[in-house]
Amino acid sequence: MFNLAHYERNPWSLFDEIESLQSDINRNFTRWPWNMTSRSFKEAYPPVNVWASDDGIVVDAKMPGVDTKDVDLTVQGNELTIRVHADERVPSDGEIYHRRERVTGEYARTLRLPYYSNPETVKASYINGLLRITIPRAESDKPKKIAVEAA
Amino acid sequence: MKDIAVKQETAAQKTQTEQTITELPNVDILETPNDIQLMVEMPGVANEDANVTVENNVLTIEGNGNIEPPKGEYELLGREYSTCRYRRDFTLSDQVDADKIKAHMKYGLLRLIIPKRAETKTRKIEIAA
Repeated sequence: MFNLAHYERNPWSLFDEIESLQSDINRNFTRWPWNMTSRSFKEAYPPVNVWASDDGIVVDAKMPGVDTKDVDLTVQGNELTIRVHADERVPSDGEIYHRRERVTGEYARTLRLPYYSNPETVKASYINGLLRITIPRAESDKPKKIAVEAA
Repeated sequence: MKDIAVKQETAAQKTQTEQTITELPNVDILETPNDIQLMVEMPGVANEDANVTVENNVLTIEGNGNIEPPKGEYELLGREYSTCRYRRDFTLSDQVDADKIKAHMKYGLLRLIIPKRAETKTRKIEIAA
């Protein structure tokens, strides 16, 4: 199954740290049905769609406006980590932010994949702010058909 | 006859678009001494599929992208987003010049620069001793 192994987000303020702590608590509490409707549950970032076939996995992540040199992708065993060193976008003198909804600073997300893969075969492309990571299944991880011999 | 066919097709497309879910894009609004800058996140939208219009002082930002499945026999295993279509409206103040809006898009991030009218720009007033 596709699941979240680990999720971290570098906070830019104390409040966000509290919020992330709160979301951690919420995440743990959501295992109980009466907390499933918690509204303060915060979604992981970047949001991903995961596609699977017998031959591998494709992960699409929504991460607009990122410079590709600021993206670190690592695959180890069956874990994929997307790490982004985004600009803090500090306003200069005479500039004011009236709204800041975009994520700033550094963030990372690790996904546990259903297959093991060979990091050398992993490919990534970045088109219109969507990062597509193609992770072929390792040959050694593919199921092997065993011939049954009649005695 | 040909015109009617075209019209029907566009109407059908419109209904289809209306039925598709749209997402509210994340926006940063930065005010500088000379302008208001909007950074609108529309991942999955190609530059030619982004639309910015101003009508009656309402700025409308739209982006129509599609979720493209990878080639091959892939099935969706986990879904955290279901659309690459976005729409958001903003009411513009009289203090900005809507005729001079500049738009630029890169990596699914739309940047709008809305200049302030000359009379509303921040001016530093020298204080006489």
